Amino acid sequence: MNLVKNWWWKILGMLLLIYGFAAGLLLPLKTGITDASPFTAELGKNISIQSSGYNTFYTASEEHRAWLKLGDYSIAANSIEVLSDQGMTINFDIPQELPIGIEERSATLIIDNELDGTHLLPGAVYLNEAKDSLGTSSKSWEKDAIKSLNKQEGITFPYRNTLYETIRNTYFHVSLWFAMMIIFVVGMVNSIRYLSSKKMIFDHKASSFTSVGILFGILGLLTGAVWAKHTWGAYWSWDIKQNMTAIALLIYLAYFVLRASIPDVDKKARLASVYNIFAFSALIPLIYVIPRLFSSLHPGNGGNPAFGSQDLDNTMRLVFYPIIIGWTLFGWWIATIKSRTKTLEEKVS
Amino acid sequence: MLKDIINLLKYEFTIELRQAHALGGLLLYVLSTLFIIFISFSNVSGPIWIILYWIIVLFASVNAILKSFTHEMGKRRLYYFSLVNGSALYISKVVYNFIILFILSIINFTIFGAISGSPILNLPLFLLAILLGSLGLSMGLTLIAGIASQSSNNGTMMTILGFPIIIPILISLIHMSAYSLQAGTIASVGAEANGDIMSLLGIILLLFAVSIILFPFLWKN
Repeated sequence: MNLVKNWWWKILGMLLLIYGFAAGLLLPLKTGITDASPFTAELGKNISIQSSGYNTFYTASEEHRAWLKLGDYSIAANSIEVLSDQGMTINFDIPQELPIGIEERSATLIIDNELDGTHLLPGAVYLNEAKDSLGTSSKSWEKDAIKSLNKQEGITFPYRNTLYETIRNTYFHVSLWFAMMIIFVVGMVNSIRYLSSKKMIFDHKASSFTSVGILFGILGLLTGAVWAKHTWGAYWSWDIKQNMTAIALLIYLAYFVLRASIPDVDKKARLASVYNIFAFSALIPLIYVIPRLFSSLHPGNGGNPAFGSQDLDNTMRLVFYPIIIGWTLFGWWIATIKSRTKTLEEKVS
Repeated sequence: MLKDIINLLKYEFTIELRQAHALGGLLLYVLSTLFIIFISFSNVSGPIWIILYWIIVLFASVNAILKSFTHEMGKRRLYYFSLVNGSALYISKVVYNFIILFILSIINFTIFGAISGSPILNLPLFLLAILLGSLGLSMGLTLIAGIASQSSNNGTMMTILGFPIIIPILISLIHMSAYSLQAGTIASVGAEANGDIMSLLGIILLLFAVSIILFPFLWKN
């Protein structure tokens, strides 16, 4: 009973991590459209679009509907032919002119059926003026005509073009950074407590938490590099966010070089604590101010979407927040073991 | 407190003028760096000019600021500690370093401009950058120099500890100075340069506030 009392948070941390890994890796993505061709159409002409679905089961659904949408206006498909679970051919009669008051020419393709729900591809078809002959279409744009859409059943993660399955990395990259910041804050608080009390135990804690923070930082940088390879095209592209995080790690590695260079134990603890607090306050402009001055590929910078309400839906939150707590508790556990080892070593020597 | 600071400053400058070789050494350091740069680059374009300028200032300031602590080790340090409190000592060091860095940056600017021709068209903005730069570098590096001077191998320690921390300031400075390549005044550069100025001021204030709290802990055993 006593064991459970002291260990509950370690067990909780492990359970949250297992839950995060299992749910984060196993739950399917929502349905989406990966590709539609051709991607240009002429006004007034007929076009048949080959579209490829993602995670869809077209043959199992009864009723298919499709639209091309510009602003509030849309046209429905003439006919839809299902080729396979992922492929379908959709026929549209494009109206003679663009809708009144709309200048946007990239139409969104929307597909809906009762099993896969609604899925869409923004900017799927670009509408050109008719070139050779005038079109023969008699269709016209209808306003707010897309109604009674179906919803996909089951628990799924959002589908995003360019991200695809890598959206799962949110749980192993973003959450690690959150946990790292929490661990660094705990390390800094322990440095403050050392300076105010001069008790050695707080210095052991500060250095242990900081080393775990570095471990999380390196893991976060690696998972970020893998993600960057799939979405930006290269593991390391000298993006401002990547540079700043690498510098943040340099700051904390210097903390350990400083500790190693001072033989006297009390002086080492004192100087290291002062540096830790100063380094943490220098980290704030490094991570939160400087990247805002530059354009970046990273979400949340230079007009790129951040993981706000758009990208982090409620299903993702159900995995994302628990795994942050899981990483933090896991790191906390490692750090307490390390600091206890250091205290024992000190007693022995 | 104010009296302490003024007395300490007077003392610093007296020592500095008495040991003129230290300051002269710094000037010679800047000169020889400039010489190497002009042998390596025969032609320096505007943005490169600014980056090189700030890198020279960065290295000169690391040396200058570390120097302000090294002649104060041992018994004399203990004697000071019994006389003044740590915050007064910190402020006097920062002000002293700021003045030295400012003079050094201006001299660097003059010589650099005289040799290669200055690409700076917005002089007031660049002078503001020099002012903020010497302020920021002295704020960021004074505490670090205090730490490094107490460790063994203090020259290496100073660069390892100081460079990562000074990078936000350096990046903002280079970013801000780039606007001075176009003609104009401080007011004419608009919102973007103002963003740099504000973030620099923010970083400087943050580092100053943290340093002034931490420095007394560094000073006493």
